[in-house]
Amino acid sequence: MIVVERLTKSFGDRRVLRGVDLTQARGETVVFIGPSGCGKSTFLRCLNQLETHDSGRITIGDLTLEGGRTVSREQQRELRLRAGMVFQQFHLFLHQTAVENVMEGPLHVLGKPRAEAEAIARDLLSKVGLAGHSDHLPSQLSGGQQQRVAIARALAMKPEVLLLDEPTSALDPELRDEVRQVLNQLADEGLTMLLVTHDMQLARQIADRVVFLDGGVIAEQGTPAEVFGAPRQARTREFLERVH
Amino acid sequence: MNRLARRWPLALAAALSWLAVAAALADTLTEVRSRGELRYGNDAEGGAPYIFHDPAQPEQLRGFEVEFADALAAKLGVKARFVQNNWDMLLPALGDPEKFDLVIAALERTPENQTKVALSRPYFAFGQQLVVRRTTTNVTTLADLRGRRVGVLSASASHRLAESAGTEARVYQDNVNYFSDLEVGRLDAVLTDSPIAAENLKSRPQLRMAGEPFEPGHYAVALRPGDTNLLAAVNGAITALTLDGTLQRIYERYGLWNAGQETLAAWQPPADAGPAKRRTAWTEWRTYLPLLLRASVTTLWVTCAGMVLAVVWGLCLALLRLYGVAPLRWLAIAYIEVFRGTPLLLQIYFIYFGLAQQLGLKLSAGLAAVLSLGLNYAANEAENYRAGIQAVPKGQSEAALALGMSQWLALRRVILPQGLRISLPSVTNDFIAMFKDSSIVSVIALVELTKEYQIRALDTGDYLGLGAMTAGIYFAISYVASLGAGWLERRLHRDRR
Repeated sequence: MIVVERLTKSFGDRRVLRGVDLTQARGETVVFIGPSGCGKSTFLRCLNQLETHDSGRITIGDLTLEGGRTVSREQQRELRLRAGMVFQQFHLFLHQTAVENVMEGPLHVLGKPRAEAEAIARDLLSKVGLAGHSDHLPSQLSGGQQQRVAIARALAMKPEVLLLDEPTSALDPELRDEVRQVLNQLADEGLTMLLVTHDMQLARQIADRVVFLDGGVIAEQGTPAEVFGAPRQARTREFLERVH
Repeated sequence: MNRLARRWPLALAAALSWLAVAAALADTLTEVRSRGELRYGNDAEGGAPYIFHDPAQPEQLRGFEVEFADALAAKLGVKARFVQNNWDMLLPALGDPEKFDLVIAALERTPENQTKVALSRPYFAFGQQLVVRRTTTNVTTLADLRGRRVGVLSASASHRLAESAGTEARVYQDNVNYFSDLEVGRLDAVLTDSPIAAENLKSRPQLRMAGEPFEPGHYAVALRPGDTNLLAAVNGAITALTLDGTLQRIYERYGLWNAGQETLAAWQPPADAGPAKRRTAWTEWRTYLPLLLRASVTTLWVTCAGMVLAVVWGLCLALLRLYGVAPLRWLAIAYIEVFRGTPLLLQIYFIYFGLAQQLGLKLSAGLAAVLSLGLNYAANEAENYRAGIQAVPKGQSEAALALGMSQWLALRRVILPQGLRISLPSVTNDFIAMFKDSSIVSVIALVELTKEYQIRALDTGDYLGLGAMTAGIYFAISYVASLGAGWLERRLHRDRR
């Protein structure tokens, strides 16, 4: 269960988020769309505290973070343990093999024994279809393979929600499908996911709910059929026409 | 083609070789007279009473050798002109006629020196004097110092005597620092020429002379071996100066006239033992190669220990500079800038002599060398690490933090392993650079490879052969080190395959 209330964030004079509210149920997949610079990536990074919010309240599970100066590093860490993150550029640890990347969190953050961490990692790698690539370094993997390892790395921490920032945008079109399939499967299994994407095909496939963010506020939201099929707002229609 | 045309190259060659022979025969004495000036080489750092700058008039040179040179030139009907040259390199520099005509610089009349240059009759007599601390007892002769530390001037008669008497000879480049080291207790005694001892004890109340001067020796003027006319003129002038009382008047002004000087007038050249065989690196490589190799072990351990210190301390500095709280960060920046912005040589003097004088911190030469090199290179290593750490993409630390790592864990597990790999080539380069820079520590009486080379080259005059041998050792070790560095980089850079 995620509850976000009146979230704001500015970079200097630029107000990027002007009061965003969101309630997301366990098992729900929410997809944020919107024009570049609308604040959707910043919203996601606030949920993981890679950016600190100016005001408003973020609740994930039993942990609530009030915006402002009161957020401690320990609280940020607690929030990150609940919200796993997948980046547009994967950001796999370049000096570690696929299996080492996935083991890293369970082993060194959660303090699990090495054998257990490795079992978790190998299990997750086979789940994303990369059992045969465990001992490859990131430089030996394609972009799609790297992104699937990155998803496994985030899942290894058993987060309450998986945050994905443009997970297919850095990939060649023919590599996007392998990542979409993995995300689809995770959605079917009931994982709570919050995505930011320009990939409308992905949004249609996996979203329970689509949120259109514009100018730092939510302009419109609904099921994929509602938002893509019959957008109520003129700016939503304009945006959808441009990306199609 | 006529015969003349065919012969003219031959004629030209003959003319040229005649010119060359004539130039070689051109007499330095004639040149000195037509120039009206006798140029003599000496080192103004020699110090009182030999040659020194007048404290009241720093432009003015004083000393008994300066006055002797003036008197000698006057006898030849010309003026004397002083030419500054590093004492160690005076004899090699004499080979260049452009620099000076002869050397007047407390040069001892020894068989070794006679193989290298022509020597005049003596103009000064001296003895070897032992100097100890006032608190030292039971030392009156060199034999009392067997196995103990005795400071001597590099390649001097004292050096040979101290070595053959079985003492542990510590070699210095100048006549001042061994007295300082004796005062602070790094040495048990100093063996030096009597005038040096007399002069320096004036300002060092903690030291005293032990026993009488022994092993009499002479200073002579050094000339180029071919300059027989100039040599004869110089010998004649010295005899005249001895007989007419000029030398006595000069030496009395410096309190140096004694029974030894009175024997100068009657001096006769010793029976010629035939030309001494010149020793070179190649004819006696069995002697010199092991000496140099043994010294290279010192160079290696100083470098390795210095590098360990530089690597560890440099990492601390880099982390403080990047992540430290404000006052610590400033201190790290200040340290790095100061150590990078001042000469290594100065730092060595500061650590070895400065700390001992001001704080009583008497580091051994080896420890001071390791400390100086390590502390200096730590500043470079810190900047290497900083560059490496900053070259790690920002996404790497975001990904680590997003996994729930603390800053420290992210640094340890993700940033440092990648950043240090990026800086590895600079660090291995610095190892090789430090290996060569370690030659600078020869200034603090540590006999490493370059110092051993200096000592043996001064002994034999074979700068070229011994230099090639020494350079060969440096190169061989550097090359092996760079091969090792390449292998290490290939192993560690597996993510770059």
